[in-house]
This record gives sequence, structure tokens and C-alpha cells, in this order.
Amino acid sequence: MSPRLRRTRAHVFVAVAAACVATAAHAQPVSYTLNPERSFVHFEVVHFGTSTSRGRFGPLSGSVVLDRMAGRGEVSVQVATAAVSTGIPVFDAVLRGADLLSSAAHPEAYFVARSVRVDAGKVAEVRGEFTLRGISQGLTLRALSFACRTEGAGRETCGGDFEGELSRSEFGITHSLPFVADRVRLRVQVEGQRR
Amino acid sequence: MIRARRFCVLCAAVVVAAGHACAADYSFDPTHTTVHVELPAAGSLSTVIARWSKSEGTLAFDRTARSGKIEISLPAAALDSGVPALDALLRGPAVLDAATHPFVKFSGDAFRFDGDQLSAVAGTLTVKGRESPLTFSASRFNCYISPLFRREVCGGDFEARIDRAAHGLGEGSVLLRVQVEAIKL
Repeated sequence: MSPRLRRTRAHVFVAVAAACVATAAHAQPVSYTLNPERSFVHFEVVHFGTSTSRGRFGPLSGSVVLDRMAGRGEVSVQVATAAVSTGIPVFDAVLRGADLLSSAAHPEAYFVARSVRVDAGKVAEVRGEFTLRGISQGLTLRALSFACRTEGAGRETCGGDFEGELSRSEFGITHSLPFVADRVRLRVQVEGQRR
Repeated sequence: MIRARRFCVLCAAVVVAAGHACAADYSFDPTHTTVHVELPAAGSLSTVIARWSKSEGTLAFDRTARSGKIEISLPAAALDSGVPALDALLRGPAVLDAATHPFVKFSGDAFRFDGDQLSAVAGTLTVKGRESPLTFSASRFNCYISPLFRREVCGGDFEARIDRAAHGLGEGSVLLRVQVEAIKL
């Protein structure tokens, strides 16, 4: 990471921290609000058994409550399905359609979890329910990395990378099966600032 | 079944028309050719993923001779992370310097096989006017008859890790994950 990016991040951090009233609370559990510049989910699906198509949803919005000492937590995240972005406008339009994300009828997708596994103070796995097109199914996100830090006198930030898998047919998305795979890999990048 | 039948019909036509020739030129399918750039959590807590969804390039592939050539050109000013402030930084002089060096390019002509399967493509990466050798690992590479284009499409997934400092791009490493599908001309 370049020094310039670090400076930019530091500025953003300071600005956000200054704009908010700092609380001196040290009691667990702790609530975090997702940082919209650092909270996205990318999906990957294999096309014709040949190449991996990728796209992005986000920014994610929502909150996370963590009690890292007690090893508990709650996650509530939502994302606008119309915000799907592959960078290919014609592809995005197809994805928003009734056969796929059905964005007009179901403008948001949700992930709600009350089962958070914490190993040695770090979030290791989140098990919850994912709602897409109004259909809810279990979804487990595994942490590939997780860390918390506090810069200077600012507020604590926690974040990491997570991944999970779903079968799109379980959400009623059967478009282009089997040429486009049923299995969809989700890769979540997320950071939250302590409230 | 439909796919298999189409494939047989087209195979027969190709065999009749072209005899043994298997070398062919392909043009990128813009809806299935992307480059994702993963910047690991250096200085941040989560990976930043940016992408190029626009590219230009060509693929030549000769399955019999086990040879090929791929050329891809990416507009530096089109790298997109979904965060405008970060895009400005990545496109700016500190990283890609798009104003001075408008394209990132890769040209690979060493196609390596493991049996019949393409396993790697070695070539030259050009970033900020600086050339350096780079080898992409290849997975899933194959050719199929597209029911949409009614032509042969060849493609696969490619990955390479770049040391940023070696390319004047800052610190740490970057993972390039490339999706390529190309339509037979």
C-alpha cells in the first residue's frame, strides 16, 4: 500500500472520527457500522465450465455487534440488488431482470446472522440466513482474514475477508443452467467502525 | 444434448473445410473477458478488489501444435474499484499513472501444457512503460461451441501475482485474476 493511500485513508479516518461523538464505553458487546468504502461482496460463477464471471455488489450497509471476549455476535447486512456491477452494462441489465435478481420486485438482499464463531478474539465464521428474491436460505461465511485496529486517538475498526458458497437454484435462479454453474462463490470484503 | 449435437455438426464442417488445420485466431468476447486486481490487506483490514471490464486483445491457439499467443491491452484509466477516491489514486501518478501510460499490456506466446491441458502462459507485462516477464497459471482452458455465437469459443481462467515494487507500483503484491473467452474469427 502506497504512503499516499495510507495518508488518504488516515484523512478519511480522522474526518469520520471527528464528525462523530466519541464514546468512552468499554463494555462489551461492541457495535460497528460498516464502512461503505470498504464493504463489498463479489460473486464468482463458472461460465460453460470454461471461465469465471465475476461481479460486485455494494457498498454493503448494515451493522455488526461483536462480543469478542464472550465469542458472540450478530450481523445484519443489506445490499441493493440493482447495484450489481460487472462493469458490463448489458450483463448488469440481464442480472437485474425478473429471471435473475428480480431487482424491481426484490430491491434488497439481506444477510442476518446470530451465530458468530470467534477464535482467539478473531471472527472465524458467521452462520446465518441469506435472503435473495424474497427466499431465505442458510449461508455460512468463513473468515479468510480478520483483524481489528485503532489508529491514534480514533475509533476501533475491524474487518477482513470472508467467503461462502450458495446454489442459485435454491433461490429460484435457474436462468442459463447448466451452462452457467449453479454454484456461486461469494467473497466478502468488509470493514466496520466502532460506533 | 443440443450442445453436443451442434458441436458434432460444426466439427464435421470444420474437418471437411479445413482438413487437419487446427490453428485459429480468436477475438475476445467482451462480456466474458475481465481482469480483476486484488490488493491484499496491506494498510487496510480487507482486500481491495478492482477490475478492468474493458479490454482489447486477441488469442491465437493451435491445439495440435500446442502453441498460441495472447495479447491483451487494458486502459489504465478504466480500472474500477467501486470507490471513486480509490480509483483516482490507482489511476493516478502514484500507481498506474494513466495520463502518461494509458495502457497496461500483456503479451504471452509461451503456452505450456500439462498433457493436453494448458497450464501456464508466459510472456511480458508492460506497466508504466516498463516491461517485465510474467507467467500466468492457467485453469479450465478449453474450447466449446457457443450456442449464442454459433462459433467455437476458447477460454479459461488465468492468475499471476505481481510484486508491486518491481513494477514501480508501490509496495506489497497484487494478484491478477483474468477471465478470457475468445470467439473464433
